[in-house]
Amino acid sequence: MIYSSELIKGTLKTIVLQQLKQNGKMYGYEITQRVKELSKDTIAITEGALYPTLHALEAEGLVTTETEFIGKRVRKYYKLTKSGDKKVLEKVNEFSEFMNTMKFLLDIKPAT
Amino acid sequence: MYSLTDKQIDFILNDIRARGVETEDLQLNLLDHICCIIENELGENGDFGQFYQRTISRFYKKELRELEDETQTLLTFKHYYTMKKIMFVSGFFSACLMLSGGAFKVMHWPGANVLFMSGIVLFSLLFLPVMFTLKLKEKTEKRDKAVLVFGMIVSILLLFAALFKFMHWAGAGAFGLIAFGTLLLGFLPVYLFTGLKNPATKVNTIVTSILIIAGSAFLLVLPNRSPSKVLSKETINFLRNEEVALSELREVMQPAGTNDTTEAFNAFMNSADKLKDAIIKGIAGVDYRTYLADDENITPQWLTPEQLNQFTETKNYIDAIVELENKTNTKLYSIGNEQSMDKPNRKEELKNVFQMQPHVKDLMCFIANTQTKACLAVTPKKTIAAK
Repeated sequence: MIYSSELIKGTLKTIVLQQLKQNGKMYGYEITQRVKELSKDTIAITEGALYPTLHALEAEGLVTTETEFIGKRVRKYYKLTKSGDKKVLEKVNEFSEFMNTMKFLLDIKPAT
Repeated sequence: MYSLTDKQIDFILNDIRARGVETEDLQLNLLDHICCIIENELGENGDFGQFYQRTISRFYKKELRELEDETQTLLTFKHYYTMKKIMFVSGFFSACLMLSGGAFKVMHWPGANVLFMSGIVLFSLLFLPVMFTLKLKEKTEKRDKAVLVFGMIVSILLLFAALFKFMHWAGAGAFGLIAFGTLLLGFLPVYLFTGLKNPATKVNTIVTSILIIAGSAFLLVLPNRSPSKVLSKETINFLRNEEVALSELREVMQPAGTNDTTEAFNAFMNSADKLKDAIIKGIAGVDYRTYLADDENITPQWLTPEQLNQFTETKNYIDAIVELENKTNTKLYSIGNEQSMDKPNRKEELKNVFQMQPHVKDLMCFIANTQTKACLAVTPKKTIAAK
């Protein structure tokens, strides 16, 4: 089952940042594939959401790019900047707290 | 593993471009991504064309352009804070400029026009567009955006109409009419129509529309108050009296002294008469005699110092008065603190007088006064005493 896009929307930046932290530098397709694998096909990042997010992260100064030429194609690798590195921790913690709050609010019993 | 040919790669890139992706960065990103997908997911002998079409449609809801648009929006967000700063600073400055321009005008100080004009220009060419651009981001509906752009154009029109009026440029009336016409007959209906549709903005729209109508009423009425008929009559009566007194004096007084002095005197009186004619022609379109004789109250408009300084008659008058003052060694006018009889200073003073007294009544009075003084200056005192 693929999670609804509503759930994904708020978390995409965090997911991307975390992936980059764990894997150094990645390119767009790679990111979508990793996430698909790790989430066991439940989270499918659409390209329509990915690239605007990556550009926004670049504009905010959290990621930089490296270009590699592959024949006629140009591949852009994304990696975290120093401030991006810091931000990942922030965002992951924020989300973790958010999850706890939601668990509490929705009265979700811990999975046994 | 499907292997892509160069031709296919070119095809993909061109298709991306054709679908509305303009940012090169984004184009290349998408190209690489699509190629990866095709290479990894299409079988060796798969159908490129079909698979490509299926793949690309995964990227968007309605059209590929969405990505371009969203990327653009996110990128311009970077400038959001700079734009807000520009907006505040330019708004504040232009408001100050306009305000001081108005104050200077009321006080008849020089430079009013420059201040006001720069204020208006800054306001309409920097502040308004930036403000509207930022507001545009908040609106999502295409229709709302269109209304906003329309509003901006109308505001700029109104501002320029105000500028024309302030500077007394030709066409101020026409411009004002066009601006207000567009506002009330073009913008207002559109604004009401779009605003009333949405129940959330209904009240806001109605209130704003009422304010626009009321504001327009005020703006149309206030500056267009022509000097009342009473004031106009007052001016004419005043000037008539001045002219009567002056002509009586001219009849009684005989210029005496050297030929030089008489020449200078005649030249001066001539130049003064001509200047009065030029001024009245400038504001009322008729010569001085006609203006005074007319009971129909030709309503005068304002004469700006710039217009006044353009008359050759003004220059001749200034030259003649200084010449006569030198010949008779008297002062034909004084303004406050006593100045030296130095020719250049005298001319500058006179120019300043004309800068500060654009009201027709005061101007004409001033000139008539100097004529009276001139008569007195060239007549030996005993003639007056004898009378």
